[in-house]
Amino acid sequence: MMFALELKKTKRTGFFPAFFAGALAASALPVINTAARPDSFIHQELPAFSVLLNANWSMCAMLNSFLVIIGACILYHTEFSDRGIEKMHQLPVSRNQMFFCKGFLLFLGTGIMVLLENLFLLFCAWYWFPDPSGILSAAIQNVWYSLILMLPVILLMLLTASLCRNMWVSLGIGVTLLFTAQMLISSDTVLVYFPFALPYQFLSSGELSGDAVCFLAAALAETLLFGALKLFLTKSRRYTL
Amino acid sequence: MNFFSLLKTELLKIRRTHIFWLMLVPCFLLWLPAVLNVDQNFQNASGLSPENNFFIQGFMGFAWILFPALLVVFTVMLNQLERTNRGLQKMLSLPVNPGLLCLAKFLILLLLAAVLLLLMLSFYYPAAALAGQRAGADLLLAGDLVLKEALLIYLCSVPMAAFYWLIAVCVRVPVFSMGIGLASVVPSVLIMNTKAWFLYPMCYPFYTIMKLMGSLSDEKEFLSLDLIPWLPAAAGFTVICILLSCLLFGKSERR
Repeated sequence: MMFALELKKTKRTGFFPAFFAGALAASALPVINTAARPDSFIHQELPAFSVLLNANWSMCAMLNSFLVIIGACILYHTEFSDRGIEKMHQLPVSRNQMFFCKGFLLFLGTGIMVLLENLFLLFCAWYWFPDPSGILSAAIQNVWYSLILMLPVILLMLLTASLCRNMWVSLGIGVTLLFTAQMLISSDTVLVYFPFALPYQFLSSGELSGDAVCFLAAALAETLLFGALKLFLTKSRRYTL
Repeated sequence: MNFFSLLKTELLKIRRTHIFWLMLVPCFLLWLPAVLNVDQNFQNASGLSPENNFFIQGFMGFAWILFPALLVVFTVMLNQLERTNRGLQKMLSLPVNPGLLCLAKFLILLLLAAVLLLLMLSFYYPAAALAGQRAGADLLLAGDLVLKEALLIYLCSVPMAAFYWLIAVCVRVPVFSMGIGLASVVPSVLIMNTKAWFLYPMCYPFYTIMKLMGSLSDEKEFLSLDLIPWLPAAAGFTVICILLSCLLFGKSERR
């Protein structure tokens, strides 16, 4: 019931259309990139899907993170504007349930994006590359992998949005986190597991290597951590920035 | 109300918005890894001298993502300040010219951008000094190169700011105004390398810094930019965006 309610709230915010448009924009990047200079891509030694992901995934991941930031901001902005959240708190609804329903909505939005992006990558591989064998299973694996790695971003951003009354504060924090991640992607320390740096990882071969398992474990651990943090904060904290 | 008092009211409005901290923290975070990983400057592949590399690497990340994205955050703030409690409706019921009000807000946006660049500069000098001390070399760039480049980035950001402001004024649904703004940051890497880069204002600051990087590695004096298709395009774009936003400002409130 709670989820249906949350779904209803997003109706006039343009939440799903925004994700859909963002997905199309992100998917257009690899197509344009490959169409503009196919020769620099198709003659590489690597498998087709690896080439495409190497060239385009960082841009897609950045757009995905931006969309999650905006989505989280808007999901809590609808509560904070006109003091909706105070009314919600008087009703017999659990704040945690509300939070996790919003999280699931964001997860669905991200799912749309990642799925469409991978579909368009498949199209690129099929259309331009001479030997696109084994690419379907690679793409399916990559979808699952990316979705799990997006979970910490979703929860951390939603947590931030739930703590800030003003949308620009949460948006500013999100932008700062994304920018920090940009500097940490190529780090060789433990900082590479920074939540916002995780979406830049991808799975090109369709097999889980040791590194990939580490990233998955880190993502799940961070997801649990942020979830627990929210449960703790709803108990202890009643005001917002 | 004349223009000057409008500006003063707008400045009052942003006093308690925490926006200063939202600018300060990323500027600090940007230089932190640069100081910690100072050794990387001495083995870079681009052929830049260490002090040039330190400066370019820092400002590149800034000009590509942070600067445009924070400009979007500023526009969201300027907009939301008026939307909450129907502030704009009250403002427009006073004897103010909506166009002038819009222009005042745009100037505040430019002022915030200037503060952001000043913050960036005021972090650059201590960071370069500290990094130089750690590495045992002088990483501070001599002369006015840093100031020139910062000024250039600022001037180049005016068309971009005008575009973001137009989006913020026209697009009423906050998801889309934020989304268009932030999404337009991403493809600037691609568009910068095409021939039509001057038609995409969001890549101007990044473009100048890449040009500077090229001219520094060739040991030229200062960057040489082709002003001819660029300057008219940028000026026209800016004027159109500002005019449109002034015309459309508060349209749905004035209905």
